[in-house]
Formats: sequence, structure tokens, C-alpha cells
Amino acid sequence: MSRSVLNRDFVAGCILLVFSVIYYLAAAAIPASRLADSVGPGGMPKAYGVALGVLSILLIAQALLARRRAIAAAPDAEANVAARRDLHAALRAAVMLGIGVAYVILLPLIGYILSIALLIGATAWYQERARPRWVVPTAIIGAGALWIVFVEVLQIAQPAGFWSSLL
Amino acid sequence: MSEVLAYLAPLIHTPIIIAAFAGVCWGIIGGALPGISPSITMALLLPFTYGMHPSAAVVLLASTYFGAEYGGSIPAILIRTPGTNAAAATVIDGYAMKQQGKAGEALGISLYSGLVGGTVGLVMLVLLTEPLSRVALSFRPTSYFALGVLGLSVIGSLAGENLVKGLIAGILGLMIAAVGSDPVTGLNRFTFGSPDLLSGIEPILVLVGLYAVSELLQSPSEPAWEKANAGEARLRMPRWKVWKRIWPAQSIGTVVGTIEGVTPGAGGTIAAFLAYNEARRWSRHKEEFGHGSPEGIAAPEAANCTVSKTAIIPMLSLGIPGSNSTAVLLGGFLIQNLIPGPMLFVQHADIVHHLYLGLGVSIVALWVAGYLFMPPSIWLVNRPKCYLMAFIFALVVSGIYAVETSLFHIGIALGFGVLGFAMRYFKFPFLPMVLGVVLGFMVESNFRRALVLSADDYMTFVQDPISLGLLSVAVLFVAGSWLRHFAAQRKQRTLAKATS
Repeated sequence: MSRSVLNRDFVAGCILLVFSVIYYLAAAAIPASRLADSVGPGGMPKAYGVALGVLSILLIAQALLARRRAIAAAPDAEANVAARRDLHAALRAAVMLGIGVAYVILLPLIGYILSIALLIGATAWYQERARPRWVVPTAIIGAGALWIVFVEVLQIAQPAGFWSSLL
Repeated sequence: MSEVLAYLAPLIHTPIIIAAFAGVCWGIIGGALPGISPSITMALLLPFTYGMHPSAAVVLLASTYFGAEYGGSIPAILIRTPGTNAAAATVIDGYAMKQQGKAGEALGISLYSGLVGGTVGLVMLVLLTEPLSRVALSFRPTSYFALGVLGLSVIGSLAGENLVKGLIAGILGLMIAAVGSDPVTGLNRFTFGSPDLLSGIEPILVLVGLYAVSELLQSPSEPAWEKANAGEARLRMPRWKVWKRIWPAQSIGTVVGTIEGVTPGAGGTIAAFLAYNEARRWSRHKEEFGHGSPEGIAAPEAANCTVSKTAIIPMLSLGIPGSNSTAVLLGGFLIQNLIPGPMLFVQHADIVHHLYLGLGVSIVALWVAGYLFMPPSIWLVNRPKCYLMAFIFALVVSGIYAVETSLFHIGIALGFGVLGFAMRYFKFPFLPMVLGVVLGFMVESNFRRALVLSADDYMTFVQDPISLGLLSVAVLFVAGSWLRHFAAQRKQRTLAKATS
């Protein structure tokens, strides 16, 4: 197992341990009801919190033990390259997520057809910046096709945005 | 005669035929796109099934699964890139045949082996599902709780290389299922004052987020796939000489597919590789394997198409999904307010009957669409990946919004996409989490109901013979997983020592 995977397990274990504590405290704060049974509404969530905490500690221990055993771990230079690649992938994913979030924000403002065209255009352009000439036609055709499928065929009302006030 | 006609009547009265054809066609296209797994192909359809006729919705999803398993072999043969994980075994001999100028023959062997696998799988589905569900008819809350625990115990075999990570993913799934109103008192839990969370987090949002959105987030960092040559891909029916050679391999594939399909956690990929291995072992032409053997395509393709039917058996009869695709199918049932399990055969026997009929139609549909959809599949594989991903992203957000015309739902699905991306990064499996989400309510509500009925006597779970039996099987499952896990770790350590 490579060093980067072991580090990831350690980090994941720590994050989950913190989360399990927060979750347990939130579960313990669920008020008891007069109708409640012996387990109560917070009973199972508390058990989940404890189980997650124990498993997180096991994951941390596993990662530490495996790290000690990993004599032939990847050299530092290789680990640095992997870390840079991971960071790059995370940044690209964040941009994709940003496109999705922008869609959610813009949809009620500018309406479905324009926001979905922007989403298609932005995603296509971002994924492969080498062929931008096809981005605009694809976005327009794609948005039109989706409008026909969802609004005309499936009869699902999509937000019209400011266009409705202009009509 | 009149009985047969009455049995077939739903084909005319319900849109089953259209759903089966549409599902298979969509499945072939989705399966043919590398990186788009059968579960993603099915998850993309989920929002469209709202408002559909229940029979049409479940037939559409189950047929998509079948079509996708076949579709995965198209890029495996043509561009050496399996469209699905299960098609990875087909690459070995499929691509070798393509290099020998026999791409059409390889595609034909794949299609006809898929048809054989699908037919045998359907027969097994019809024969095995109902008897299994009949046993489950006498279930009480204790038994349902034990059944849920049995479902969760499958996590051990789904966890991959790290059992702890699988268990953690399962617990996270149970935590997601705990959001919303408490099943006994109706008190709100983890809703943070949001009315959108009162009815909990719908499994569809988790499924689409984990499978489809996380793939979209991952896609910009993945390389584009190769281009296929459409001219080489004219599908040809295998000649009689080839049929005589491949039928033993197909038989092996269907047997392996049946066993692996009903075994939770095994799935099409393991079945395909096992079938390939067994076909090679029993073949008279062992030396040809790896160099373009027709049997090397027939066995794995028959196996994974059999699995696409037999994997439905535990999901339909007990409500336990054993693979990602059947988890999505279960989500499709839940959308229609159909709870898979023993009561499905009592309350909605017609839906089960329609599903069988629809899956029968899907075999004919695969045969027709296998020929018709070859050119469009190749055309799609040859499109730049960026446009396909953009269109899939647009389909996901539009479909999720369509479910309840809620922007909040799109936000939740994006959130699960981020969680899925993180899980991929930290190498946590998805399926245990999905199991937790779909089984969480059943486990908690029946556990507490059983305790209320027995005046808080915990012994009630072992006094009920069905519950005791199911819990014992669950313990055996977990123990088996632990043992396998430790054996694998030991082997790894020994190997590492030997290398150093």
C-alpha cells in the first residue's frame, strides 16, 4: 500500500472521529417524547455515533500500524507528485461543483433555458478547452432539446425567470 | 390458450413493451460509454420514472440494467476499453479478435451470448423469486429487523479491500436514513429546521449524487477515451461452427452467473472473470484464450447478462440489493411506493408479473436493438467526452428538479456528489452506504416495534425462529468476511516480505 493511501486513511479516520463526536452530541440533544419507547428517537442515532467513533479509531489505528509496516513506502518525490495530482483533481472537481451551484442560483433568476444552456456550455468548455467553437452551438441545441423533453413532452414546469415578467 | 392470452394481456394494456425497448436502448448507449456504469445509466433515468406507470417504471430500469451489461462489451471489443466493469473480461479476447479483423464476429458472439444469459437468468428469476418470498410471508417485526441486519451484514462482502471502510460507509448510510421524522414518535431528527428534510432524504438523491454527480466531478481529471472505427463494427451472427464451439462456454457463463447473481456482493464483474477462467479450464482450445478465442467472449458475456437478471432475485424477494445496479432498481421501486420483499407478491403481484413479462420483452429488445443501436453507440463513443459529460450534467440537474420541482433537491444531490467524490478519494465503497440508506428505516422501525410488542424483551429476537435463523446467517456472513479479510491481509504481508 502506498504512503499516500495510508495518509488518506489517517486523515479520513480523524475527520470521521470528529464527525462522530458531533453527531453523537446532536443525537443526545434530540428531546425525549412522552410517546417514546424505551429506545427513543435518539437511541439508534446515538448507537450509530458510537459505532462510527469506534470504527474511526480502528481506521486510524490501521493506518498507523500499516505505516509502520510499510518499509517500501513510496519515496517522498513520488508522494509529492501524487499530492499535486490529487490537489489538481480536487480543484477541477470544485470548478465542476461551482458550475452546478451557479446553475442552482441562476435558475430562478434567468430561467431554465438560459441557465441550462450556460451549464452545458460551461461544462463542455471547462472539460476540454481545446475546441471552443462547438461549445455555443452544443449549448443552444442541448438546451432546446432538454426544454422540449422536460417542458413540452413531460409537462414539467421549469422556472421561467425574468422572462415571464417581460411577456 | 385463453390462460396464456390472459397472462400476456398486460403487454397490450400497459406500456411494458415501450419501457422494455426504451430501457434496453438507453442501457446499450449508457453501457457503451466508458466510465458510465450500469448503475449510473439507471440512476440517470430515476427522475423520469416519477409519474410513470409503476410497471413501466420498474421494467424500464430492469431492462436498462440488462442493456447496459451488453453495451459494455461494445467499446471493450472495439477500443479495448470496457464500457462497464463486468466487460473487462471481454476485452482480453474481444480486442484480440478485433485486431484479427473479426470485430463483427466478436460483437455477434457477445450479443448472442448476452441473449442466452438473459434468457437463462430470466427463467431462474421466475423460478426462484416467488418460493423465496413465500418463506418470508410469515415475517413479524423481529424477522424484518433480522432481515435488515442480514442485508447490512452483506456489507462485509461489499467492503472491498478494507472491511472497516465498508462498515463506516454502512454506518454513514444509516445516519442518512435517520434524517427526518422518527418512525415511532414522529419527532423531527437532524432536520435543522428545514421543512424540506421532514420526510427524510430520498434515496434517489443519494443514488444520483453518489453515482452520477461524483462521476461528473471526477471526469475532468480523467483522460478521454479512444475512437472506434464504425466501419469495422458490422455485427455478424456467429456461424454454426462457432455456435458449436461457444455453447459450453455460454453454459458455464449462465451457471456462474446464476450463482453469483443470487450471492449478494458478488456481481457481474466477478461472475464474468470466474466464467472466463472456468471456460478456459474446460476448453479444448486453452491455448487460444488471450489471443482471440470466441469462448473468451461467450463465457463472460453470458455470465454478466445472467447476473443482470438473477441479481434481482434477492432484491425482489427479500428487499436486499446485492449490487449497485439492484440498489438503484430498489430506488426505482421505492419511488413508486413499492416495497420489495415478501409483501410485494401479496400486495402488488401484478407488478411482479409485469416485471417478468417486461424482462421477457427485453430479451427480444436486446436482439433488435443490438443490431439497430450499434451505429449510434459507436457514434456516441466517438463524440468528444466533454460534450457527453455536459449533456449528462444537464440531464442530472433537470431530472432531479423534475422530481419535486425543488432547487433544494438539486443542492442535496450536488452535496452527495461531493461526498461521493470524497469517498472515491479516500477509497470508501458506495454500496454499503446505499444499503444503509435503503435498509435504515426498516431496521430501526422494526427493531423498536418488536421491542414495544415484547415489552422490551431483547430475547424476542432469538425466540422467533425466523429471526434467529436470519441473524445466524448474518453472523456467518460477517464472520466469513472477517476471515476472508484477515486471510487477504496475511497473504499481502507474506507477499510484501517475500518481495523485500
